[in-house]
Amino acid sequence: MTSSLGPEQVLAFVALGLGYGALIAGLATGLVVTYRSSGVINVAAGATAALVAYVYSELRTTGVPFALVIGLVVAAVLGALQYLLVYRPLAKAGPLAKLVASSGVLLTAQAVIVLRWGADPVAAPAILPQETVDLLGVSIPQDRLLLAGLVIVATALLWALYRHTRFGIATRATADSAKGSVLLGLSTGRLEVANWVIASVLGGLFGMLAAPTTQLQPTTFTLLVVPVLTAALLGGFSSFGVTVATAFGLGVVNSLIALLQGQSWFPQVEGTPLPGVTELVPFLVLAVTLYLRGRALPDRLTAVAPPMPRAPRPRRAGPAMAVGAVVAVAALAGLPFDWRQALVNSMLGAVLCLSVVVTTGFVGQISFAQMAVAGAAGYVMATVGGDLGLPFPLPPLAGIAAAVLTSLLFSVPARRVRGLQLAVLTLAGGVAAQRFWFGNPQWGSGLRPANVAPITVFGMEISPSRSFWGTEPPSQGFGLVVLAALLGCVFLVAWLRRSDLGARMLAVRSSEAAAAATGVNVGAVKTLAFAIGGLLAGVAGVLYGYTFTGVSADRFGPLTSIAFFGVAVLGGVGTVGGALVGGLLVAQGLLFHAVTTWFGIPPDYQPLFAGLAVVLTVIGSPDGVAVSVADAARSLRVRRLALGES
Amino acid sequence: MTVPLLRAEALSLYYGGVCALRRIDVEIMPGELVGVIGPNGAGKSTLLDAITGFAPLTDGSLTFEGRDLRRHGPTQRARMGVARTWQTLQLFEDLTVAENVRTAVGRHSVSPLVRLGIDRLAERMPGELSHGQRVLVGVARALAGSPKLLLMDEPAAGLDGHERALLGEILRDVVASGTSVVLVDHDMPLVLGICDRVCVLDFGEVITDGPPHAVRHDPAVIAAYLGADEGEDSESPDGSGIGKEAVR
Repeated sequence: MTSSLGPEQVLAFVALGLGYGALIAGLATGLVVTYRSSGVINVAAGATAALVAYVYSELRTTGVPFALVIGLVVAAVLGALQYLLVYRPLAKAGPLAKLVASSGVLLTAQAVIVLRWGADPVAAPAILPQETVDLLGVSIPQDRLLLAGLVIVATALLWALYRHTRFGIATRATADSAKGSVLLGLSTGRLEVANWVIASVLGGLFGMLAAPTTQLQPTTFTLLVVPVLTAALLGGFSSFGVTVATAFGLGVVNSLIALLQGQSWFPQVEGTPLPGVTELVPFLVLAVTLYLRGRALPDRLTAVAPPMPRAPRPRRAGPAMAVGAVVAVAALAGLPFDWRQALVNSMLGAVLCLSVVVTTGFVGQISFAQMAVAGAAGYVMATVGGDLGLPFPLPPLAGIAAAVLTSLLFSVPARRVRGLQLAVLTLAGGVAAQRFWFGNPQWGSGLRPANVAPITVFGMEISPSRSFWGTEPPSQGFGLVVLAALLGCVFLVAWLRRSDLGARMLAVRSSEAAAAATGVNVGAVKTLAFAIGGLLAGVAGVLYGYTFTGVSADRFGPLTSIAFFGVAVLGGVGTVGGALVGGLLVAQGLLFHAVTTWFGIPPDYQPLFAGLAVVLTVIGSPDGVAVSVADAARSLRVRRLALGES
Repeated sequence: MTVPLLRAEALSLYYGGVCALRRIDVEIMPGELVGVIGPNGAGKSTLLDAITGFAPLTDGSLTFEGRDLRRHGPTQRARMGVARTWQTLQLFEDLTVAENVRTAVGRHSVSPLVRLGIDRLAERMPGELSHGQRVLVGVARALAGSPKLLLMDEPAAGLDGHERALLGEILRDVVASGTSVVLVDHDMPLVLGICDRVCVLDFGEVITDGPPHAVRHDPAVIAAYLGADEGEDSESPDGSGIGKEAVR
């Protein structure tokens, strides 16, 4: 499939890219609006727009009149509800809590779409005229030009609104200081609702209009948030002009890459053009810009100041580990096979949550690339054990080393880029890693899974699917291996929290300046935290590979990273106990298995509950379930003591 | 003649077009307790930030034990022996008092908590302490790395009379052990009472530098404070409080 590369083709593809660019621009301007009014980086913007586009598509296919109007109303309601139910209760919360809440909204919206319309692409009915127009001798689909024009008009209107109206000036005053606008006698609540509605309607409108030019498929649409965040971040979350220009730039580059992929000289892998180049672009643009501009970006973005979830020192870690180990061994021995599998999944999840505890809980760096780091371990292990045929324990060790290196790669920008910017950058990095590496048929496994050879010690195979000492699979021996790994990781993190290094990590999280002033090398502490976090994620990746006897790109995607991050925060991102609670809550883990078995709720609903649980926990218990439970137990003890004394 | 521990020559620092420090010359001798006073906005905190590496100097030279400080970042300066406390304390709220002190690199043989008489607070969280205790934890953390020079940013703010007296004793004790101290504070009786030398800043410039009794009666000092009191200087909204203290 070789096409020529003349000026006409380039012009045609540039025009085609305008449609995608307009969609990104519409969502990105919405992101700027909500950030300026509420300080929320709305990672759910893509998922919300997708929901609106799906509703519209269903209304059209069933022949309901005024579908577009209904779609806009749905978008407005979704915007208002998000603010009223999620972000208003979080008005005084830190940026981490808001980001996690927004991730929860993303997971919820995504789950609703999959439940209602399935995960496969859906044909989106056209709204704009589909005829082509002739431009300089090239026929170009009219709708792309219209989309571009509409988004520019919408942005100009927004700009005028925020520049010249009382509403806009009040919104900007709120962004500077909520107190200021209260003094002006304005209701910040009403202003923020209005801004959320504007943003949501904007995103929904362009979602409906542009859906026919792209693909209406849940994951694709949800992950649009990566280029969208790139555009908004380059515009400093304040400039509509720069944001829209970057969005169109990304759209055009995206389209031109598609053109180049058709050229004979474009790198090929197993007969198809090199995948993931499109996803690599926003990541590289972000990485280079953020690194060069460093701290020149607005402070509200860089300062993930407290409140961060608390991170108390573990008490009685040794006895607790011993009790836990005994209970887990008994469970592995006595539970039926489905429960054993759920327990193994929970232990795996707990290891991954422990890696979030180190990078986010201890040192305050938000990374959305934890699954990419785990995936690096899984894929390197598959290659070393499969293609190179090296014996155990070399494949898992090589895998874990690869995870540490991948994590260190993300720590390079973390030396200059902080807080929410790092979250956005790692999200883009996670998408790029999944598509460019894991999804590559040669380096990764393409669309199929890559096999992972089972653990073999002294000729004995310890695989989840083999029987162990005559018991039926899933293997209890494999369960013991996972348990041993989990205990090792728990010990490492508990020791870290009690060590001087751990104290320095929390010092960095608390105040980088004050830490530096006591002689702490802030950069080195962050690097070490990423290395240890990478090690833990690597162990999780290796165990995943063994559990599923293979690795596949879809297991190590950015949405899974977000889900795990949410679950880790839900359990409690500051403590080992929090990570263990997080493990119970992971998809296919013990809690969801209990819900599915006892209440007969189909497993398809798991993602929905997970998303809702993340949102509710962030609002109700910002330190995480584990710390809240410990607090409740302590205050109960104190009350009992007081009663006993009186 | 003794060699100065810290020597600052012609330090200048501009934020955009605003001048925060203008050609400041300061020398700190080993074992000396130097007070720095001046109205709000005079550049006292900026001077501390410049010495510890948190504010970028526009011009001037800054040496510590003969080594060029400007070549080093805040972490390296701390490790060379330049410690500081913060006006906002900046305690690590997630760490116990003992852990706060343990973060300091290059530890002292005698625990600074014992030295300041707060070792019974070791396992408490900073959030549970009184303001006076928190100030002492900040001092203990700064002393934990056995610094040669300790810079203190308004430690007496918010302390009662008894606590101020205790702070004064502690600072004299620190100086007696060989550490030089620079004390930035608004508490005139404290500064004039315990310091060997007092340096007065106004609008980013040193207007007087000398022993406390000379500074107390210097017409330029009184003018600077009264000037701030008249409200001509919009940068010092609560400069009046200092003026009152100065003439009290």
